[in-house]
Amino acid sequence: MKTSVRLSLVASAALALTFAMAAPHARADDPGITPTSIKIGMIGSLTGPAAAWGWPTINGARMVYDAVNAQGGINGRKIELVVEDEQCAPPMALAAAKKLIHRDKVFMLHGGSCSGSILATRDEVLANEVPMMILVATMDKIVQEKPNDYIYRAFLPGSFDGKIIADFIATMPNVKRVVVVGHADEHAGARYGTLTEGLKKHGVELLGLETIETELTDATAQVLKIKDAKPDAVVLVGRPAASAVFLKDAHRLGLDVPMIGATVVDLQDLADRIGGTDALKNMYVVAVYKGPLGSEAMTPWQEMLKKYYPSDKVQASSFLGTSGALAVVEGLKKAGPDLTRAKFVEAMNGIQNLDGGPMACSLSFSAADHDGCRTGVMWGVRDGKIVVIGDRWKN
Amino acid sequence: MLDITGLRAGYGAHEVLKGLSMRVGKGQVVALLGGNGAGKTTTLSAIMGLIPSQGGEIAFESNSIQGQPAHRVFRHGLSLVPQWRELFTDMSVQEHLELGAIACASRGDLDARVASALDYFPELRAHLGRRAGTLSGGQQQMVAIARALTARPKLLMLDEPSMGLAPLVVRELGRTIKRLNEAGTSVLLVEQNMHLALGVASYVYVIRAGKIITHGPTGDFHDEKELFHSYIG
Amino acid sequence: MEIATLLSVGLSNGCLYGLVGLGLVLVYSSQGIPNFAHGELFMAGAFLAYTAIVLLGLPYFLSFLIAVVGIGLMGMLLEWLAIRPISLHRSLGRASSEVAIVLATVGLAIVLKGLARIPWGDSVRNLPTAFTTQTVTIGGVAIATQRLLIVAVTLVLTVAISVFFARAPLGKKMRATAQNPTGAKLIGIHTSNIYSATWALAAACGAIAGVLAAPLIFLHPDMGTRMLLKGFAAACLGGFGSVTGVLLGGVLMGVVEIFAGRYIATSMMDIFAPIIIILVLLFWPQGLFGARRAARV
Repeated sequence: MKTSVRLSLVASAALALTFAMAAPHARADDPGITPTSIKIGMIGSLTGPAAAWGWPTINGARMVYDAVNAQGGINGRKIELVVEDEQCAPPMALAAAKKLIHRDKVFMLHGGSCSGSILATRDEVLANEVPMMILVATMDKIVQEKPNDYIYRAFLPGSFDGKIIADFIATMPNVKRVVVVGHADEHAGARYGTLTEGLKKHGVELLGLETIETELTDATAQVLKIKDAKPDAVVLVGRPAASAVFLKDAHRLGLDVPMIGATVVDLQDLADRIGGTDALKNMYVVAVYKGPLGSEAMTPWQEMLKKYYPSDKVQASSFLGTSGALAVVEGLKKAGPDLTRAKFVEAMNGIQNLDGGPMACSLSFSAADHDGCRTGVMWGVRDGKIVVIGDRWKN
Repeated sequence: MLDITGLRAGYGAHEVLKGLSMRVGKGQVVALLGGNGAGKTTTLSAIMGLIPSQGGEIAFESNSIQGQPAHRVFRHGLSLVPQWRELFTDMSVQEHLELGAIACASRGDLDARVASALDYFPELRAHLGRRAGTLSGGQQQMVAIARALTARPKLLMLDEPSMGLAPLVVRELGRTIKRLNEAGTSVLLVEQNMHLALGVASYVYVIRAGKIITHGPTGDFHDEKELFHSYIG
Repeated sequence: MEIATLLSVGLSNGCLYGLVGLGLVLVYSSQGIPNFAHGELFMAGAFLAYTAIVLLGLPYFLSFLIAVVGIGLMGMLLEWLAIRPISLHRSLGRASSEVAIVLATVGLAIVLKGLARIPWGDSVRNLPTAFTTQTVTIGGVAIATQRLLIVAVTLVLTVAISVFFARAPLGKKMRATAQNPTGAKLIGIHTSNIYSATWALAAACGAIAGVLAAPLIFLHPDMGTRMLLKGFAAACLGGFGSVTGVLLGGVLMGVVEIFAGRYIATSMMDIFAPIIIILVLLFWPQGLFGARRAARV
């Protein structure tokens, strides 16, 4: 008697389980979608060496989703976010992606603030056919390597940085010899190729690459070495903290040639870190935004951030992830009410000339090219103020 | 002065003292004799508060000191010169003597304290600047005792002070203990060297397996051989 | 000229490493364990000073004092909360209780870093320098005033601590306790309190280093991790034993590091600390400046 009761219990449990497992397949839905919600997994460097990029970039993207949710969501579905930390470390990034895909069963991913670590998630993401929007990682091959049917980016990739810098240097008078200062990580590595190529094309001699640590505390040795080489200009491909240290020491030690920074840094942020624009008089930076913070083009986005994340500091890195979220929202809208991953991918591939929000570029994707943002603009300091210089040098 | 009744103590689950009772009267030199592992050092450690006791009572000058940590027991006027001397190897002899009184409330007379400790061990005067680790065994024993003396203890407890010392030095030690006692310090002497113990003590306790098996005035223990057999069993 | 510039930076960096190493040496000498949470005390000192200077608008040197005293008290509290209960746990043998304490300090490091993230998040902040004049030119060499301050404070502190250990009653008690805890108990020293005091002193040294270093390296909850490694290397060079040894170790490392960076390869600079730790432990386990191994403190 007892045994038979237990047996039937086991049987019915097994039956229930089978149904429970079969149910989603029966409805042919992809994970992470219910009639009222879409689950998106976000991955960022919340801790670790690139932690300064973590929350600001995530919140700059999240605010777009928050705004969409506030207006009732997309086709009746509100966006639910699960945020994971990748600590700028490949194994952590992979673990985060696996957790989001298999345990949290998200519909798609939006993340990556460290090129080296997010690259480690690529195979897992593609193998599971999970759509992914890169948050702010700039390494080309994350998106450009084939095959890639699922990973998108709405942010200027690193190689374009290199090209924009090389083209800009070519327009500078009397600049024939340059030194590159930068980190030895994937993040900086993404830029070196096109930079070297571009400089060569324009007949500018590359004197050498001086490595700096991401946690640089003093750049005396590097600055003195560079002074020895007597370059006409210096290209700086460093993270913000290290760049600030380098620029401070360059100023102190009298290295006063023009310096051109990659998108990794922002002039206003550098000025805040260094405490003034004195050390930045001769600094040019590839910018991705339509204008400096506080300019008309940026105001709506700054206000959006203040509305949803009032405790966040409005800083240069705040809106780097915003265009990605705008593209995701557009893709979800276009995919229609019967949302599947396949429909979403198809919709993404059809986006053309979508306004990049705070970004200077407009976004266009296709099945063959998932890098939607391809242009940037050079900013510089004139009379202690940050101004948009354009893509050619001018005094 | 020191009254111990039914003391039980040990290390973790291992009980060494199984109801030990003994007393040291004011001005007395009392010897506690026993074989290896009988519980002599454990008794001193328990009195001094270096190990916790699990039962019984320890009173000093009618105040219970049981359960108090060593630095509080010290304040009542008890000093222990441990078997392994426990010197500060890299500090000088002078520093040891000064440190002996460092926890005493009145240290204004520090020089006098050091001088009177040195009166018992004039040999140390020549070595005041030397590091304790470089001294001979006998000199180290002197430093250990002198360090205890600068605290001016009411009761001085010595744990096998003769260990490792040459016979001549042991004889000198016996004389020093007597002088100390004459100056008013009570002494509890733990020894395996019966000759030294019987030479200075006025009262003897014999401990075996954590209990006092016999005790009485030194005069009762004339036959050293018999005494030896009593604690070897 | 260039040599002088490099020396000024190497020397001041080295002083910082020495200061951080000093805190490690103090705890190691008294309890025989490396305090892995020391980097976080360094970080906490910098943030406390930041709170006082930037958020509360207090004068610099008052804030400095607040940070040093505050973190000193915090060190005492940490010892009382996290270290003492383990060391008093009688069921553990001496060896296993040391392991447990080391692990406790690793845990403390993680907890403190995590706690720092709650108010401070991950944005990078600037601590102002002590003087409004950023650089002075001495013999044609532009030297940051903050670096001069670092060297001056380190020298004064090293002398003060040496005198403290040689003369002050508390310093003597600390040395006695470090060399022989049982012997110390027998002469009436409350050794647990000495451990607290040692932690307080070590933490205060960490806080001083943190406040001095912060204007150069920016404030961040992770700022102590790298410094701990450098301090550790300085302490290894100094033989983990003497106050002057660790300072010399730090200075040697700071100077070698910057000259190697300038004349060999800048990419080498940050791997110097781990290399030094390994080499010293392999070939000179007593340290280069620690001839008397047993000479704790």
